[in-house]
Amino acid sequence: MARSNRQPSEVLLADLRARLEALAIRPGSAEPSIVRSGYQPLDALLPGGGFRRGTLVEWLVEQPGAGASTLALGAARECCAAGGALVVVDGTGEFHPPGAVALGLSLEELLLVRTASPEDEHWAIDQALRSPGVAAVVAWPERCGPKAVRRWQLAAERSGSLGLLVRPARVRDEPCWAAVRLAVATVPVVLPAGATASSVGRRLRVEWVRGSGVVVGKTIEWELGHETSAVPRLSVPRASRRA
Amino acid sequence: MKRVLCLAFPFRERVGGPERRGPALPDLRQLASWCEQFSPLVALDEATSSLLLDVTGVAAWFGGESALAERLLEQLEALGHRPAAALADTPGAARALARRREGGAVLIVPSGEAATLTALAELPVETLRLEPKHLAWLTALGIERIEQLAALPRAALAERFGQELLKRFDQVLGRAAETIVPHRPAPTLVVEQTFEFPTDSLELLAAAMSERLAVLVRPVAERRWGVERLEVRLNGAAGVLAQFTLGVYCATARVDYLLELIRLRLERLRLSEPVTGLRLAVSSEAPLGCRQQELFPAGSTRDDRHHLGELIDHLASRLGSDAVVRAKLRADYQPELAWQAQPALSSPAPSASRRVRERTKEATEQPVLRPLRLVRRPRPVEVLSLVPAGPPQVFRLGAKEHRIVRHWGPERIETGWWRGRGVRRDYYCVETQPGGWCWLFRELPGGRWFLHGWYD
Repeated sequence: MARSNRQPSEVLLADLRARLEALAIRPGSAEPSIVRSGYQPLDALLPGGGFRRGTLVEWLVEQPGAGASTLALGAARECCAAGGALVVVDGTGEFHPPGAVALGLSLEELLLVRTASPEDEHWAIDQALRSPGVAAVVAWPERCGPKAVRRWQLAAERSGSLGLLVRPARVRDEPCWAAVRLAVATVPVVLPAGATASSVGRRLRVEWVRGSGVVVGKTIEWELGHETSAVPRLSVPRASRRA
Repeated sequence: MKRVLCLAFPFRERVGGPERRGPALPDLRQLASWCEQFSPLVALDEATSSLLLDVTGVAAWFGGESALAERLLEQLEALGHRPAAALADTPGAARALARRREGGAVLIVPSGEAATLTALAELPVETLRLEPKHLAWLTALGIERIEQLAALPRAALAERFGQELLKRFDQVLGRAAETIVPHRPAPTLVVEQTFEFPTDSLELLAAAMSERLAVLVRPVAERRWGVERLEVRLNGAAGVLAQFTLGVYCATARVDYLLELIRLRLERLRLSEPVTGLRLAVSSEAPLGCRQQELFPAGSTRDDRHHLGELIDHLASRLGSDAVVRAKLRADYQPELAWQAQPALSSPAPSASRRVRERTKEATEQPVLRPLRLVRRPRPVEVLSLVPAGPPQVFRLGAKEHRIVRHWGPERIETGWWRGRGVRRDYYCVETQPGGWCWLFRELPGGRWFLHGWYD
């Protein structure tokens, strides 16, 4: 049946052309290649306003509880919003899914892989990054050489997945195959007299360690928004929970 | 919606027979075979002397469900049997209703969960075929009829009785699937090969398996079905060297794919001696899904799910099916029990519409902030508080001292007394001087402190 209105078909053709261009840039996907980090101050730091799909991002931490996993999962949440699964490779057996739900992640899209040895962990990260059905991979590889990271980088590049790796700060000066390497720390807050704990949110510091487009050593600090960290809900002592 | 007809034969009744006994097991088997003229799938329930007929989509050939049931009962009566019959959406409901009926009559419950529940409302909970301990607990609580059970909140039922009771109840109402196992077992698909010489070469094993797999899969593929579970056994001179079950996310008839998964498992095997033979058996098969290619994938497409299925197969083949899981939140306040892992192989990804529903549900529930890392066993820490039973000021973990600059809490979690291992804890989220957020709790009574997690 011939279309009487010419305008919609032109709009349709323009849309199809845009999708074809996207496919030419990254075969197999018509999704935009930049993914927001989920945190506005961090987006402002990143060239292009976010992370690029098909790359690795390394988050370096001095100690547990520094907040890097919160940022990594925030980026994973944004990455999976357009479709695709999130694979969490947990070599420690400590990943706690209710914590991810509190950050706004949907467990329906999350596939958790629990590994017993570093070899299995590295292999699972590699497999997950190779899969075109996976939008993002989050992992905490404790010990891995540059060769393994290079392999992951190639796997991510091929499939278009985003690899988010939380690593110890001691690898800071090691060769970097990630597109971006960031050091993350929680800045202890000195509360002014009379202030309550919840009057100030969680303060994070992110330092640009490696990657193009930003001066090495550039540091930003910001307070996590209430939409991403439910601090106010903890501020009120909760009623005794008797089931 | 599935439609199931249950024929409940009385244990002590037979029209015109001198013994006045119900059909013995061999007779029931014969009757099950005889009933196959009315249904392609007939199951035999020996314990209740019943037959279950899957009549989904069959009734139209007989002029409706009522006509089908009447014709079946008439012919059975001519054979000397007067079973009670009930037709409902689920095997559980049909069985429960048939058992409470008089012989020779049929009850047809309209399709739908509400209609099923209405029909079952007055029946005693025993008809649900629950575990004896669950039945004893329900009796102790004064819950005798199904309508009383249905009125209880699901979260409380799950906490007190575990998931089993809920699953059984959901199966009866049609919210969860219940398989009807046909009385006539499907032909077993097995191939075996004995080698002329023992071998420990992975390549030779793979080549032999490839040939045998092709023979095994061909009859399955000809029916447009695929392998869902494959049993692999390697024999040595002294007996079985290794055996494992290979599961796949979506049924497949691709020999190369199955071989690739077997290789992943073989690479991890440490064989104590050379292999003298192998045996492959299909233990579960399912219809092959048709997959249409899409030019422009948008959002979570079928293609995405297909790729994810392949990833799950690969991961589970090497790491084991328990290592590749989906997380499901549980209605339990105790942090260790707040979620459960379900093997991804046995819990397929939900449809897009369900994902939207779940997302909306999660968004409206506003979950409380929980740590991203929960240590497997709470680690004892030394804590200094300024006032007894007050918030922590400093804690020492190993040799390291952490000064607390601010805290949130306490959040009292007191639960699980019915499990016999109740917990009573005061939780604090704390920010420490080196710059970390931890989750500490004070155990009550006793006042010992533990580190339970990190807000990483």
